[in-house]
Amino acid sequence: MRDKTKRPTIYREFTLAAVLLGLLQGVLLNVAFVYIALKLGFSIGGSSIASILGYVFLRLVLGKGTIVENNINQTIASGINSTGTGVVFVLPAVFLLSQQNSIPFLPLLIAGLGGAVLGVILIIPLRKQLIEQDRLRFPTGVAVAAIIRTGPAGLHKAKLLGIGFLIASSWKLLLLSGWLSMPGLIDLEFEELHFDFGVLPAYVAPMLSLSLLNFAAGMLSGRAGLPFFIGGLLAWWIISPATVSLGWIPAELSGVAQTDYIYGEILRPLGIGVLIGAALIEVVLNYPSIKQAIHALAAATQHQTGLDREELPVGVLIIGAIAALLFFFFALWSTPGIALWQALLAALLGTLWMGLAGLIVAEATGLTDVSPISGMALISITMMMLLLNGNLLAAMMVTIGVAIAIGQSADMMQDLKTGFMVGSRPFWQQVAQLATSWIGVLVAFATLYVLWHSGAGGAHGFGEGTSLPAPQASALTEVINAVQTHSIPTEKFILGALVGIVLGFAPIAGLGILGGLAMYLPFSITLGYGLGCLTQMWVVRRKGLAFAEHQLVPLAAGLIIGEALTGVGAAIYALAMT
Amino acid sequence: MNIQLFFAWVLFIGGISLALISAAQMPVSGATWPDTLPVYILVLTMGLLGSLWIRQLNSSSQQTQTNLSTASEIDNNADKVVSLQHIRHLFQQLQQDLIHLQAINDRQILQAEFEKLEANYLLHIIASRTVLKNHLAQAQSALLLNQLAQGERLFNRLVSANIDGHAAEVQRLFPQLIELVKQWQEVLK
Repeated sequence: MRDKTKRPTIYREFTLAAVLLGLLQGVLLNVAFVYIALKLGFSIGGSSIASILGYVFLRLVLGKGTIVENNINQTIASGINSTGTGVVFVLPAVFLLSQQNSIPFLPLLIAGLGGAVLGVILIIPLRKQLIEQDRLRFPTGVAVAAIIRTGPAGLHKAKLLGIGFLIASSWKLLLLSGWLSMPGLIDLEFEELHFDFGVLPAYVAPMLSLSLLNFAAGMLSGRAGLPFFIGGLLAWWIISPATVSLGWIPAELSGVAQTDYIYGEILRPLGIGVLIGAALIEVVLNYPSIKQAIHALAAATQHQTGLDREELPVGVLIIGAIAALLFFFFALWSTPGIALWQALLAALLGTLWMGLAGLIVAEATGLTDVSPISGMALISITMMMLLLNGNLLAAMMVTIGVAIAIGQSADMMQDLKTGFMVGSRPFWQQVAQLATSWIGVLVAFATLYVLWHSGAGGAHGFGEGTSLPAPQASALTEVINAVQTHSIPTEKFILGALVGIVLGFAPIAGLGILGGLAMYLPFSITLGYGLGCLTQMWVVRRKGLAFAEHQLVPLAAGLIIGEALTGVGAAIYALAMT
Repeated sequence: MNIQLFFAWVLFIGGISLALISAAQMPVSGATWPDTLPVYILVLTMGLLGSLWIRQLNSSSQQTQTNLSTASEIDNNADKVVSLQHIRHLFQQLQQDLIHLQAINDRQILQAEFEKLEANYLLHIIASRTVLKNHLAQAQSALLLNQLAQGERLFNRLVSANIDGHAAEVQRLFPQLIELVKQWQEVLK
């Protein structure tokens, strides 16, 4: 142990070591996760990995790292990594839909860079509202805070975290091993337990997610997450059987096909509509407190200077937003077939939509840890195709900007929550993410460019028939085809949005967002999450709030990290084997 | 729950559930909207009325409670008054404890004391946010909740700095936190 008298008087926070380590980890995670997403169809947040490696490198290797310094490292790494999630959802579809030599790479890249900056800038003014006033839980943010602190904090919490990690990790390995496969009861592909008891029809039979991560997210949310659970029950035990008994489902469908139809054609589009309507009305109803939060932010930036600053100055946010908006506008204007007024309108509407979608995704992540990025991308492409006379390229440009921006908004809020819990200055986190997240766009674009040109004849390096099937891009391509053939369920979006607006009037915080999300996600997720909520409420009732905070939080954090890291390890192993 | 509130919730939940069911019908070929659209509009309006009724009942209940709190005379509102007094008392006690803790230099002892502070004060203060919201106007409560959050983050930083063994930061943060707790009390006066 070092002599305390020799310790520096400045508490290490925004340091060169933290920035460099964050950049390095962010770039590596971005490349790896873009590849994994092309292969498996999903990407992974890198916060927990970055925080563990940050602890090892800053504290154990350099011997002088602090908790808040590790938070800066983790903020940068996850910021760069999460831009890859947005890029890999949209850009591969552009490659697959375009001819080899006709992809206007530069405007797409500019739109992506604009999205990365706007996503951070548009959500920063809502930090006080979402984290300080609404106190959203952000389960992964809480888990990462537990990791950052647990290392040096004490044996007891470290033990609980370790126990959670081991349980989730072992369980995940058991699921992956295939030993638990029981056709009709346990579906290992979707990690679900089916309770049809041989009598219940598929459209009403309960399904439980076997993911401990999902259960732990519910445990961290407690009572606040209950509307999500109730929304799932409403969707699958009331709406679903009602549609069947009223004869609204095509008669030729039965069993799983019937359930897929109810989910894909009815519940999911209605859920997306509810999400949008609820977010819109929340902005309107919370206007006084959002205004107060923004005033507090402006006041904080006026009275504080230099190293004591708490928030990024409002002027910087405005300049950044205008610059990103111009990026967006020029990217659109340079697209063949787009008039000046269309570029201007699409840039403005795209930015407004980015702000709203960013808020929806940040709130959904804060309440349940699930981010409905694909639903938001679907709305973007629909809106822009209509606005831009079916100009696919321009619509994809806005969509890539939106997909990156909403990923950034959710990640920024998640990191700010972690920062709040360990006492970091939001200012340094905001500077760190704003200054570095755009790098992730370059890295993801370069990775996809290289992979695409690694195919036979210098193209088609991913997509169907290759070793990288890019399932997300295929799904987006299907959506685009649906927009082009006018088979998008617009009426479901609108009717759902009106229900979302009414739900937003209810005196229960987040009811509309949670209800919409419950309809948007499979029943197994809402049921597993609900069990987690009920478990936390039971523990609080029996043992008190303090016990839940000190015992359940590190255990749940361990469960989340254990499953996430084992999932990553298994994905890398699967890639290595192929 | 009073009977009016019960009916308001029934109207709201029933309206929303029926609206979602009627929205679930697919339009027939060539049509834009489902045949159930008139039913949808009717039941959604029911849900909206239920929701507004709940808001109105909650708001008048809070208004009554606020008036009664000011008068401090009516027994059936005593719990709210006690809650507010209790919060003031928590703030005062927290300030005193922080002043005493400033003199402690031992990291382990401080860590144990911080855990006590969290269990004895901070979790209770966080849990009593609803009482604060009910007793203050929206803008004022937002201001106080912002200040409380600022204090909570400062306390979290204090704990982190102590875990890291950074005594200089710990000593720098104590006066700031004490000053903030004083400000909380000012807002509640």
